[in-house]
Amino acid sequence: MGLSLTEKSFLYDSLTLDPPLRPDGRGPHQFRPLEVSTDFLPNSNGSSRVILSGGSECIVSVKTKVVDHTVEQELLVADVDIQGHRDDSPLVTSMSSLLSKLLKQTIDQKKLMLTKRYSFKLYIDVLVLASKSYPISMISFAIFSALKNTWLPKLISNDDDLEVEELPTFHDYDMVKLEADAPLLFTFAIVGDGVFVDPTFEESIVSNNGLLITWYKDKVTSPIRSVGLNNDNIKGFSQHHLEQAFKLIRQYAPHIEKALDASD
Amino acid sequence: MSRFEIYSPEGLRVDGRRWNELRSFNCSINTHPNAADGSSYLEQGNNKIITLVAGPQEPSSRSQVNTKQATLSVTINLTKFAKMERSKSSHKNERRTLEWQASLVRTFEKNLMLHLYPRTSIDVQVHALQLDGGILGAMLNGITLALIDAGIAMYDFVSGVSVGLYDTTPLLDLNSLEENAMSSVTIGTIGKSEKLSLLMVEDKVPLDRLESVMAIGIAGTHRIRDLMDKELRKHGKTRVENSSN
Amino acid sequence: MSVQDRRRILGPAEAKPLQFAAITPVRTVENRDDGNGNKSGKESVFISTDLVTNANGSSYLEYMDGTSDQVLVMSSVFGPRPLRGSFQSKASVSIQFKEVTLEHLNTGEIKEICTFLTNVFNAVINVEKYPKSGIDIFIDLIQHSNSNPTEEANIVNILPTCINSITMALVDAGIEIIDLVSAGSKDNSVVAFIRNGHEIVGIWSDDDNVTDISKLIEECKAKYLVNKQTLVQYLK
Repeated sequence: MGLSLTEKSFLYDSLTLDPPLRPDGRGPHQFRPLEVSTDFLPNSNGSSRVILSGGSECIVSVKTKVVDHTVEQELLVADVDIQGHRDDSPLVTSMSSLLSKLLKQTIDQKKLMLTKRYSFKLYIDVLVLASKSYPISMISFAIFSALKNTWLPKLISNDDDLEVEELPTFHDYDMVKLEADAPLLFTFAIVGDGVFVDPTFEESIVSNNGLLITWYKDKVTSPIRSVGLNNDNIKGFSQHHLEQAFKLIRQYAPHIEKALDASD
Repeated sequence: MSRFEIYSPEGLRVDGRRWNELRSFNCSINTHPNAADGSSYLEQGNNKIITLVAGPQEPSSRSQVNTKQATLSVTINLTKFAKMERSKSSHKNERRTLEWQASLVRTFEKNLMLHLYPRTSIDVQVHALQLDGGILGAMLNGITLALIDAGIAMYDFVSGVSVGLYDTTPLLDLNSLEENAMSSVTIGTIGKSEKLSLLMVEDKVPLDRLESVMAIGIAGTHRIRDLMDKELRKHGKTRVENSSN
Repeated sequence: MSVQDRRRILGPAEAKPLQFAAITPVRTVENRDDGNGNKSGKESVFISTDLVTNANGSSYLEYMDGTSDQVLVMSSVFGPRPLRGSFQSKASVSIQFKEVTLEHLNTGEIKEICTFLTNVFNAVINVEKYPKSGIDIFIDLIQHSNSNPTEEANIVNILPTCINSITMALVDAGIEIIDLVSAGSKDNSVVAFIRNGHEIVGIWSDDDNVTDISKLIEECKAKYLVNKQTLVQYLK
């Protein structure tokens, strides 16, 4: 679905007005209304679904398996599947790679340790059912709420099994909550002099450039990237765009984190 | 497995059902009003399926244009997390999935009035979030509901269910435990008729028992049709009420 | 018992092993900038262009910073060449990154680099000038050795050289760009600039603690100016 030249020019002009006018009437710092539901997949240890008002939707499942961590080093696997994109398309592979690297850095692997030999291995599967705009922000929100609502089986056997050959045994029904914080990723569209959080598809098309900024544990962290939200109108941006984006994220990200945290 | 009795002498199955009972069946339509033209969410036992229909719309490529009728395509996405044990591969290009896709397309091509929508394409996506046996039947039901939501003209409901044969007893609507233990067939029928639109036999079934298997299967699909019809009427009623206010 | 070795393909009976002449270290250093002594060693860049004959433009860059960091990159530009298919009013830029010798990066990281670089050069190449055409850029990372081989550091270390190399190849190909793009890096962050540092065309940061973005940009800008000066000097 494309926009005509006239539509694009109208959108661009209204976004560069002072004050800017976004097509859905939001302020530059405002998110689209989003709906989060969690814990709907009994087969998974944690699950969440995020729906944005435009119909974009993302489902995340967290599954776990007990592995011998002396043999298997990787305790976190993130896998992204976006409808309408092949598994080897640049969007899907680069997003998968970015997310798994980020999650490996941020999630404390010690929390997954069960005994001296065995650990939980987390499989985080992302399914994007529908999305027109750059979906990474929505995905990170879904992962955040899924990990907040992940329950792992409770270990009842001894946690020191270095000497004894013993497989970990678990309580029949008691579960322990995995207290893991996941980073939140924010996308910004740069249009003219303005910076807009959570751009819609239409805003992405006319944007001059895009920014991806990560928020984790009350501070801005890596990765920070410039991302092209389209292929036609890419231009350079200036330092004040970056500063503006940082200001917005520092001001509003804590609220968003709180809202997501309270949603369960 | 020895602790489980697939079918006890008292006539009870692993989940406590009798031979002719369906699993719990819940469905809703128009679940994704902004993401697709038609959508449905269906729970048949522990199966959870989201179906999205896009279309009738302009085909994405020239080769899909058919001047006589709409081009129907079905994509099945069995997610990696759908089973109890996470699967490593996405099942997208497996032969079984491709075969299912082809048979679903053939089933619905006969039931939809595709000649009303020439030069368009109708794309159906089925996402299985959780699998527990009899998935093909559940997909038939999910697609029917989503196509109705999309407002695409069709002759009648298509409803599906799987039936297994345990020794000489046919068992209706198998779950995955039962499905692994016996041979089964999937039946799709048109409306309240006894016309089969789909019969998928992936295992061996003795020919002399097939009739009783089909009989209970057809009865099961009719029951499912009624359940879907009830939900649709309920949905329609709320839609009308909301629009009049 | 047969003594013939069937597992290897043996040469003819009279074959002699290859002998190489003794390697004498020869190095042409085009530009050496001593003014920017952040690290203990001296940074030096070797630039050469137009070495791939069948490409429209190509460049070869060696970057070393006196310590043990060494990045050797070759880029070749093909195009603008006609694109088949539907009409497009602007050129479509595609960048393929490849490690030709040792493979340190996984496919996902390589795709990330490609996407990032494509975005940078989409902003710089005058795409309106070349309708209906494709510009294909291939970057080969020939060697990258570094003292602390962590994955994140790797990408950040090679990106500036990649960007410089593509710029030189584009200049060599005669493709219109709005300015010489070059990049500077600092603490796990890379920022690509144009217009004397007034405009940013790309930022890639793997720095876990970004407190002052303005400071980071200023520091990268200083490096950028040095790098750009080097490119300008070569082109003179």
